[in-house]
Amino acid sequence: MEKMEKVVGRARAAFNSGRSRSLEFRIQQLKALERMVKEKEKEILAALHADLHKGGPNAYSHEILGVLAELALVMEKLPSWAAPQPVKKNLMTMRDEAYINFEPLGVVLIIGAWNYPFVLVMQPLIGAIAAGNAVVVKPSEVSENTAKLVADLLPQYLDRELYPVVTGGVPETTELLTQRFDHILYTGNTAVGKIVMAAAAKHLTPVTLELGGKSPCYIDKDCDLAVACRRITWGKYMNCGQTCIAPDYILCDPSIQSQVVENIKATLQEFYGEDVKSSPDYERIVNKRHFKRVMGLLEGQKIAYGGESDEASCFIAPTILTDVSPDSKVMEEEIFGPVLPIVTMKSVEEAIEFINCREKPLALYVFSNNKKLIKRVISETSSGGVTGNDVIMHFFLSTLPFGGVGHSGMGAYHGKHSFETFSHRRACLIKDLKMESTNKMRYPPVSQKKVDW
Amino acid sequence: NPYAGLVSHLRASWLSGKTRPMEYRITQLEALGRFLDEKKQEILEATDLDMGKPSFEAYFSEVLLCKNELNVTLNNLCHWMKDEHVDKNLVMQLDSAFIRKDPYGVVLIIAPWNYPIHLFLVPLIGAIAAGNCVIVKPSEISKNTERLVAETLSCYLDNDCFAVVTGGVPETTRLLENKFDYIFFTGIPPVGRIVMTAAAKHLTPVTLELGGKNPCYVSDTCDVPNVARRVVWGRFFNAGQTCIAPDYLLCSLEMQEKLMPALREAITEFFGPNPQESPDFGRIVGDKQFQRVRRLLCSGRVAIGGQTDEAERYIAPTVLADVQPSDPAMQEEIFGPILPIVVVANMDEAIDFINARPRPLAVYAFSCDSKVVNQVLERTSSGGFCGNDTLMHVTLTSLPFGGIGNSGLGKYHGKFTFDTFSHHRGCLHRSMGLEALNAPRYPPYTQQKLGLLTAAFEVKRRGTCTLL
Repeated sequence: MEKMEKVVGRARAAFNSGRSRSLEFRIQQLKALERMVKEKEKEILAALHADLHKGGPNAYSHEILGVLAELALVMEKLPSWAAPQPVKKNLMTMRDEAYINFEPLGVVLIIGAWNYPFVLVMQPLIGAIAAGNAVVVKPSEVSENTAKLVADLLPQYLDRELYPVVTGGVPETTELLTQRFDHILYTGNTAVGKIVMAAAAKHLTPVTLELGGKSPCYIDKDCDLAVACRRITWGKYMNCGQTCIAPDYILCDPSIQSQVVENIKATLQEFYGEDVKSSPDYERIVNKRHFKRVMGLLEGQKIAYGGESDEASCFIAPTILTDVSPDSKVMEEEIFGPVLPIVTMKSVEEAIEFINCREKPLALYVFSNNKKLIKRVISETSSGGVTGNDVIMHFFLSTLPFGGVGHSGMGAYHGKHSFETFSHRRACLIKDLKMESTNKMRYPPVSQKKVDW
Repeated sequence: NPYAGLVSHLRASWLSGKTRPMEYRITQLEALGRFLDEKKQEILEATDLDMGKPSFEAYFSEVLLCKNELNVTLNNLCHWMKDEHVDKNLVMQLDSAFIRKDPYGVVLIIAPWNYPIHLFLVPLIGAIAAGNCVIVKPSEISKNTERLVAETLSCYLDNDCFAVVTGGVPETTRLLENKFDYIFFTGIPPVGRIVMTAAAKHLTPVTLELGGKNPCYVSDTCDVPNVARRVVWGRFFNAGQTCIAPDYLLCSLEMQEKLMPALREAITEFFGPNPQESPDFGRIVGDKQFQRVRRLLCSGRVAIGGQTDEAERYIAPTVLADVQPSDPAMQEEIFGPILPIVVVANMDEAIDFINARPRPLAVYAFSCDSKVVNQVLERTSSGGFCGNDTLMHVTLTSLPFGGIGNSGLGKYHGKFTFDTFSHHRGCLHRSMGLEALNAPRYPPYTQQKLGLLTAAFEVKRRGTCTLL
């Protein structure tokens, strides 16, 4: 692997050449990306299957569909997004040109994560290219097949100097982070997020950190439990629970706990059949380390359903825990696995307080027929994003900014928000060199007359 | 941790929710307005004592501009606070999708000494408007203003939610150990790094308004007297202690010759034959800063001014000619009343000169030829840009004010301040019904389901055949 300094230096020289700036060039690169995704669909799906045991239609809908949609959106809207935006003028600037110019930042670094290894590299990349930047892409080494594929494919379709792919683990990433970038977008965990921001601070580099946390899911007594539990089951167990916005744990009244369990059980049967392990639609834990970590969370817990595992294949069955204590290990860290704890709450007030005592999560979910209650939960809590009466879905609306707050992250992207994240909004005021008389009132020497005016 | 008590007190107030209702925010903002009105005289006096700030300048930058920001905010707060509904895709047509503007919580504003009221008050307006609790840390270097703020702000604002902390480097360092939900810092890049590093420990988002050397290119085709006036005004305002002041001039040898008498004339017009006697010319804020700026005088040759008076911390409005890139005045942000002129052959050389250096907070270009102005704009990068004038782009509240690279990250003024101190939360409120529409997304996964999902989610390029 070439020295980081050289790779980044080449990207910077390529950026300084100015060729990534024209709209034609950016759209041409985005079109190439689109071709890549379409032509190499088989290879992409194979890599995702090798990394996470993700089946074809599943992988396509979670990782490829979204990318193609984003590409189409960006290519269509880019001319209007990139156009200078005139602003409202005041009396003093009436005759002037005042506008915001959207300009590239320079060289952007994108650090991907292993759980949705393709889309979490591609979606930021699309935005960064659209904004006219050079981009260094660092896919996660944990999803090694996808990392290798991205490293092979991008140079075949994109400008090689402007958009290099860097592979490797912690030592390589650490070295990469010593270089100066003009923006860093990192997707991953809170602990590493702090490291990335500290490294960025040395160069005063702005960052977008897409981190995680424990996304709470409150189920009100007044709700269609069958529907709610089906939606929750879908969001919780997709990708074997390894989703940053999965509903991490459930909060509900003790009187409906067993019903919730029954509904989820029924849905699981519907989704994965009698023998989950043999379902092509159920994924695996990414590696042994995470397998052991998740299994460790089950210690001392009341397993209402599931709990089966097979270390050799990193299989953990969809699991539900009941009457979980807020102080237990499973309630301390983000689970990132197919284990769903239920913590009982006597009221929505108690649930809101419970949520607010903890770090701000990436997502918050609330299920209720009572619109007022949903509005109340949203208003009295804080989170990256929210979906009411469903889970995950706010991620799929690109007009909504996707990002965290507090420990779950900072900044946001998707759709136009990506374009803005990776652009510098430069304030421009162009005056006339004549018309000096209007300026005279601001010049010294000052008389009372001027002050009064 | 000496500030833990204060921070947790503010956090408790924050958690009580009292800063969230619009009425509360408006009451506090109106109180800030009264502070500006009632303490106007004290503000003028304090800034005069701190850096000899001429009262016109103090009124303009510390009071008038702040009141503008306040009024823009009060006039628009209701609108800014509203949920912003967004376009939906096919699947979500019946849902409610909006961006909610949530306050962050307890935020910290660290202000510098050069515009000591403005640079804490304008961020504070946005922070309050966005519903946060705020700790303000004014600069200890502008000590009279610091005392004024510490003693009087608490008479206007709710002390449970807004506090002023005073002190120097040790105090600020201890303060930064605490967890804040946002930090807004205005100051120099090295301290910006320290602030961001401290913020990283708590994953606190930041806005850093820093500085740099703002180049000012003057082309050969220009109205020399007007250029001279506008440049002199921007350079010597606040005795040069302005983050967006034109730091140095780039022009041809011929233009340097033409500009010199015009600059001299403008200086005399503004400050009289002896600027030291003019009530409209300021002083350097402190002895340390005075000595630093004075050292920069050994650059090029002194063409205008150059006189200093240590007792008064007075440095005359000075223009240095034939300055070399290696001279002291070109090594750091000047932040004083010295204008070096660096001769370049042409516009291309000027642009290369600018691009070889860290990106500044502002770039200025003067020319009667709008193509020249546009070239400089397009071929450089900076926080902001002003063609044919200096400083004025930051007086328009509809323009974002902020840096890039070494000159900073983030932006504010007007609505941008409100947005800076708000978390933009993506919210999707779905209906419990219509579950059948969700069927294609559930396992068992099939190609047929995938086809339905694709039809529902895909964004088609216009001009291609589509079902939608």
